[in-house]
Amino acid sequence: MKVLAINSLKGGVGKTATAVNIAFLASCDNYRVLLWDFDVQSSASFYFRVENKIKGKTEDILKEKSFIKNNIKGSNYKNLDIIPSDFSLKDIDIVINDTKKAKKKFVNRLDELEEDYDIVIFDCPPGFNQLLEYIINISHLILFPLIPTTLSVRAYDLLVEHIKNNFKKNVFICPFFTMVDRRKKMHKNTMDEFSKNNKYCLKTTIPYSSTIELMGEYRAPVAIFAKHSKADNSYRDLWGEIKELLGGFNF
Amino acid sequence: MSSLNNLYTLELENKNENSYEIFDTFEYSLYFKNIILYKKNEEYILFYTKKNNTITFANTPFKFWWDVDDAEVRGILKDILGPRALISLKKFKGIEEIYNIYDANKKIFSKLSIYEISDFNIQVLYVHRIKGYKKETKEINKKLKEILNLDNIKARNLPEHLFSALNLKITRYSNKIDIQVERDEKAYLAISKILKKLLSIIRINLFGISNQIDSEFLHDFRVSLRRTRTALNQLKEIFKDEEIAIFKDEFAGVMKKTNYLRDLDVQFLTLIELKYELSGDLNDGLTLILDYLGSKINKEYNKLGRFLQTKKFNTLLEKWSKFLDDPSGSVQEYGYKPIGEIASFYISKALKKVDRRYRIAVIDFNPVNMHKLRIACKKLRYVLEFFNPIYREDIYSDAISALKKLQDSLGLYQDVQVQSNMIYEILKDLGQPEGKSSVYLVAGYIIRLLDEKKKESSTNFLDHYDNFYTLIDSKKFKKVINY
Repeated sequence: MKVLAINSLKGGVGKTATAVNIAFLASCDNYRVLLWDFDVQSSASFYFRVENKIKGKTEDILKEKSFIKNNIKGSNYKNLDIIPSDFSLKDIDIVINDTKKAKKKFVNRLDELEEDYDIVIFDCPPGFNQLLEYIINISHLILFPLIPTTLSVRAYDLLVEHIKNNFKKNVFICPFFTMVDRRKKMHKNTMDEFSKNNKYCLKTTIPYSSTIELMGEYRAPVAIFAKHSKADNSYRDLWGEIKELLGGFNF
Repeated sequence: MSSLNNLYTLELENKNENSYEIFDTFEYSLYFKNIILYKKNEEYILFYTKKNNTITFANTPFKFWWDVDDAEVRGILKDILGPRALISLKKFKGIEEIYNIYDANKKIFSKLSIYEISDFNIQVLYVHRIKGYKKETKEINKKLKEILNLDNIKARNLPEHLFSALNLKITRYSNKIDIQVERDEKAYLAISKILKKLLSIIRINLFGISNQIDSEFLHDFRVSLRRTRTALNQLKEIFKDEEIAIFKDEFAGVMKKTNYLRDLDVQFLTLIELKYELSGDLNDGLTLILDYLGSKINKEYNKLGRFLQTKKFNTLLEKWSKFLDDPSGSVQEYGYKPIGEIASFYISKALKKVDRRYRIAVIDFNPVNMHKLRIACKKLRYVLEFFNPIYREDIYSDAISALKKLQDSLGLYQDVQVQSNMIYEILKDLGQPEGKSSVYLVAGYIIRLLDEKKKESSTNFLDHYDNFYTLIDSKKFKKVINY
C-alpha cells in the first residue's frame, strides 16, 4: 500500500481538485483507492457527494480501532472509497496533544488499511500542524501544488526547510504547478526559474481552467464530465508521473 | 420495478448478457467446503457460501490447481482439490441489469442487480451493499421483500441459486468401504458384500480413467483392485481355490497393466509441486520433463483406456459380479463361521508376522529384512482395510493411519528409488539435443531432493513403528479385534 499526501501551506492552490482527480484516475487503473479527507472545508467529500460527517468523536480517529471501518464510504465509482471530513476535525491537534502515543496510534490506523487498499490519499488542510507532521512521516510521496507566484514558492521553501530541520527520515516532496496561465509572464518566469533549481519538480502542469471549477457544479472528477478536456489530460499526465514515482503497477 | 421507482431514484447503469460456467470435481470437493467456483464471462469467481465473500481472478481455462496463476487461489485449490481435476458442470447464459439507487444528493448508496437465467427459468435480485450504507441497504432489502412478497423465502446469492438450479444429485464419494457388516454375519456373505462394494468402486472409476479426467480415478481403481486381491490371496480358507484362481490371475494382470502409469502419475504429481518453486533454467528444465511425462501419461492412459473397454476385461467384471451374487457353491468350511471370528483370525495372523519381521529387521537394519518387514506391513494394512466395515471403532482407524505412516516411511526408500530411476530413464529418452541442458540441471536438482527424502525415510521409521505398536498393543485395540 502506498500513501500519498497532497499538501500545501497555502489554501486555494488546487489541493483538493488534485486529490479528487488523482484518486479517481488511480481507481480507473484498477488500484483500490481510499481518499481520506482531512480538510475541514470537506470539499473532497462534497465532490464525491458524501456527507461531511464522521461517526464517533474526533478522538476516535486515534483511540478506536473501529473508526476506519465505521467511517469508510463507498463512492459512486468502482475501487474508490472515501473517509469524509467533519468540522470537528478542526480540533484534531488538541486531540493529538491529549492522547498518549498519538503518532503510534495514527500509524496503527493506517496499518489497518493495508489489506484493503493499494493507495491511500490524504487531502490535507492548508497550513501546518501536528497531524500533518504525522502524515508527512508516513507518506511515500508528498505532492505540493504550487501556483507560479512568489508567495507560493516561498511557502514551498518554508516547508522544505522545516522538514530538513525537523525530520529524521527522507521525505519525498514533489512540487508541481497548478492554475498555470502561460500568457502571464510572471507564471512563465517563476516556473522556469523554479524548475531549474528543483530536480523533483514534476513536469506536468495543471492549467488554470474553468473546467476544473465546474467540478463543484457536477460534484464529480473532471474525467466524468469533461473527458479528454485539457484539464482532464493534465490530470492524466500528472497521475502518470505519480504512478511512475510510486513504482508502477507492482506497488 | 415501478413500485421501487416510486420509493427511490433508480437508474439503469448497465445491461449485459453474461456467460456462466460452474465447476467442481467429480467428488464435489468445493461444494463440500461451501465453495462455488464459477466463471462469469472471462473472470473466475470463488464464492464462499457461508462467509458470503468472493475471490475473483483471471486465468486461462484450467483443470488443476497447478494451472492457476494467482498464488492465493492456487494455494486454496491445492489444499481442497489435491490431484483432482475441475470438471465443467454446466454452461449457460443470462441477462444482468444493474441499477444504481441514489439519495437526494445523487450519491449511489446501493446497487440492485437483476439476473435472468432463461435456461433455468430463474430470476435473482441482488442488492449490493455500498461501504458505509449498511442501514440504507437493509431498508431496501426490506422494501423489496414487501413489494415482491418474499417474506418467507430464504435469501440466497446468485451462485447458490445457479448451483441449486443444476439439480445435481450430490452424494459423498469415497473409495472407502462404507458399508455396515455385523460381526455375526456368515464370513462368506460378509466378504462378498465387501467385495461387491469394491467392485462398484472399480466400476465408478472406469469412466474417469477412460476419459483421463485426473489421476485419482486410477488411484481409487487400483486401491479397490488391491483390496479385492487381498481377499482373494490372503483369505485363502473362505472360497475354494479352484473357483477363484481365475480371478486371482486376471486381476493380477489388470493391476500389472496400471503399474507403470501409476509410477508416471506419482512422478508427475511430485514434480508439479516444484513448478512454482523453481525459476530460470531449473524451471525451463522442469517444464520439459513435465511435458515429457505428460505425453507419456497420455499414451499410457489411451492404452489402458482401450484395454478397459475390451470384451475380455468387461467379461471379467461380469463374471466376478455373478460370482459375488451367489458364491454359495464355492464356499469352504471357514466361510460359514461368523465374520468377526474370521477377521480376528486373519488380522492376528498378519500382526504376528509384522512383529516377527520387525524383530529380525531391527537387529542390523539389513535392506533385505527391511524389505520383508515392509511387505508384511503392506499385507497387514490391506487386511485391516478390508475388514474396516466390521470395526467402526476409532482405535481401529487410528491403527490403520499409524500403519500407513509406518508403511510410507518404509516404502519411501523404494518409492524414491523408483522415482530416481525414472529420472535417469527420462534423461536417456530425451537425449541431449541442443538447448536442453536445463533438463540435466533440473534432473540433478531433483535427484538431490530425492536423496534427501531417502535419508529422511530411515530416520523416521522407528518413531512410526513405536506409534503404531503402542496402538495395536493397547487393551482397547485387542478388545476390538478380540485378539
